[in-house]
Amino acid sequence: MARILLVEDDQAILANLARFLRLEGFDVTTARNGAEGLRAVEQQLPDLVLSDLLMPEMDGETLLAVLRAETSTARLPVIFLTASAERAERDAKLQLGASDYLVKPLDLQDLLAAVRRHLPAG
Amino acid sequence: MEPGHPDLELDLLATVFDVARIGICVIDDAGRFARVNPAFCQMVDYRPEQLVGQSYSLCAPDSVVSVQDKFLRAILEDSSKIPREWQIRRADNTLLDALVSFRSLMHGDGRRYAVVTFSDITESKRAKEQLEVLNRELEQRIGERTAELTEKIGALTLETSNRARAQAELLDSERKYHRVINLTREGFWLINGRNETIEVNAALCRMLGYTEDEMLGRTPLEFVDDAYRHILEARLVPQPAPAEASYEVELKRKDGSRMSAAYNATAVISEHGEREFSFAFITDISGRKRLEAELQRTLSERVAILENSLVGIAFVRQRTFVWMNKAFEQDMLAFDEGELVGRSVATVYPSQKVYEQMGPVIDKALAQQSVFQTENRVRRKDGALLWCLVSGRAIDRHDLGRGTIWTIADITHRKETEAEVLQALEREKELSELKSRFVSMTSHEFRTPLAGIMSSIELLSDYGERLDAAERAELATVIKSSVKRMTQMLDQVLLIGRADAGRMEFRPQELALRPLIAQILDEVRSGEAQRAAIEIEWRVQDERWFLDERLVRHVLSNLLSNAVKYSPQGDSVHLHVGSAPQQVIFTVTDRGIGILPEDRPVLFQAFHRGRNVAGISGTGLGLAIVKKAVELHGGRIQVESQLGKGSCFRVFIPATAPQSNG
Repeated sequence: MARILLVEDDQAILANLARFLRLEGFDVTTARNGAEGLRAVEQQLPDLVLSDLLMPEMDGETLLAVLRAETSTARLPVIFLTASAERAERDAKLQLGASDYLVKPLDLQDLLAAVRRHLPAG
Repeated sequence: MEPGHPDLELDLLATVFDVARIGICVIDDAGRFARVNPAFCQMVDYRPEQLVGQSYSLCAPDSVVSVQDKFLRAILEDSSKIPREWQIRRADNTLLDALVSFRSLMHGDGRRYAVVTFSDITESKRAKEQLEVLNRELEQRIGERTAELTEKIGALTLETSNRARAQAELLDSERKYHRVINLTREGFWLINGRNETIEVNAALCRMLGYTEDEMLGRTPLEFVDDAYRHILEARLVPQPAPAEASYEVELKRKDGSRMSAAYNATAVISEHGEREFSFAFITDISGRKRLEAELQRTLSERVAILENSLVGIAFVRQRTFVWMNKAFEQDMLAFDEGELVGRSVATVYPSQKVYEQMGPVIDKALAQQSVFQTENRVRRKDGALLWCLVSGRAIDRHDLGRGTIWTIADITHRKETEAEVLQALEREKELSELKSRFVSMTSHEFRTPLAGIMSSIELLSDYGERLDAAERAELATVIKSSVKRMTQMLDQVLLIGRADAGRMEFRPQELALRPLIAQILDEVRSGEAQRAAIEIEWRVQDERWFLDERLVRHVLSNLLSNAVKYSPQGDSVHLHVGSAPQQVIFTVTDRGIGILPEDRPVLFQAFHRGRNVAGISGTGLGLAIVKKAVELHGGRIQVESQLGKGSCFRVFIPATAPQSNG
């Protein structure tokens, strides 16, 4: 069972997405900001990270940067969930090394497809 | 007469003796008159009987009387030593000059007699003496005249070097004189005492188009235009004063056209004060006159242009106003006509200090590039300051003492327009930024609740049967709260839109503060997810105030929800309600994230959010609305903040308390 770390500061979205992914058979860990997310990664390495961008304490970009800097997490798939509709902004995020991004409000089936696409085979 | 007839000879002699016009007397050897003829008697004014028998000394001058015997012997001996001109004493003792001839002869009685003849030469001698006197006088007069002429011409030589040379040569010789007169480019006109032309030179003939013959004998008055005739008439009088004078007259050419001429006349005055002759040098000044007229016209045009210029123009020398046009003095600087002339340029500087600072800068610029331009303020007479475009130009940048020309153009209006344009641009820029902030805010802040709604709906519709009732209720709550959040944001957007459009109303009414604030606190607590507690401290004397409830609600709900929202650690928020005479003071203090210094200037701008808000949602409208509401109430707002330590917003709202309810 693939392990997904979900990092999101909005309580309602966090709850809904965790509920959805679990219903789809994933092992879901949640964190409410980048710092919490990092601690979760240290505790148990996930197969994929779904992260919001704008969060208090530590934002998604910083989280990504830290993960990419660590050898053990350098190749960990990270999908950003962004509320920004600006294409240029999203392209910039990809250059930072994100695997993919999804724009809020997101279609749950699109989310599922993206997760499956970026999970390591097997 | 025939010799050989003694009687006839005797008669003749006697007749000659009686009628001859020359005086004849016969003196005997005793020196007495033996005989005298009528002519002699007439000469000496004696009768014959008074003379005959008397000594000849009766008719001799004193010089002869003293030597009468010796003189008598000399006569009797026919001495050649006796002078041929004698003086004779007349009866009235006057002396008479006479030319004398005498002869002595031996009479038959053996005595010697002397026959003396006299011819009166008094008249001719006086005439001769008078002639000599006349000659001497003439010589003297000629000498004086020559000296006078020399002096006159000497004076003329001083006049101009050319003329001096000409005049000097004139003295030299007639030939040179004529040569010079005919070579000179000036017309030469010589007239006699009767104003008749006696000489003109070729230049004058050429000027007037006459031949010399046509001019000779005529008076200059015939050649002068009627309008100038009186000038020459006053000149051509017997005693002109002064002897030398210059006039500008119009001369008539033969073809009827006119020539402007300088008429430089010199009169030669005799010792009796009479004008003997005069001469004049004539210079054709038509060209000069035309140039003068042209220059005058040009100058008039220039002056008119300068005077009527809308640009202020001034001429400055030694930092003193010499000349300025009306626009400069009266229209722009509001001085009276001529008031600025002679005054220091410091008068129009904004201050003495500016004048002292600018002076050397301007001089340096003028000396380097001769032009100085600046936009500066200029002081009017009433002290008001005008924005002007000031340009200075040195007449000679190597010698600033020759003066500078200054122009000033009033650009106050332009400056105002510029400021207006800048303001409009600023406003436009603000609006543009506002728009982009609005877009960015809606894109982010609306997408988040939308994501909550959408995911809830998908879960409900696709997985509803796998969810229990509690989970389904939870999803419904997410949908409701998300919609509420979006509605609140829309309300805020609409509110700030109304405020910007000036449609936010101010309607104060008597209200009780306590229940209102309790209500607001409830709303804030339920609205924000954060746990922060809100402490309230009452320090207000009166319970009831005249306030606009909605505005107070906007102010407090936004400040309190911000304080809670930006205190992510859950530190408590403090609300202090105080009052001062005629005002209510709300102070909201938190120990939250604080405000970055760079965000302070834009803190109250719509859709502007602090750079340190990270994931904390918000529209960026709260403080904008607070500010509008406070301003509408006539109040003010103070902010203190320390990054990471918290913020304090203090709002002063002017208000009156109704009669104290005790």
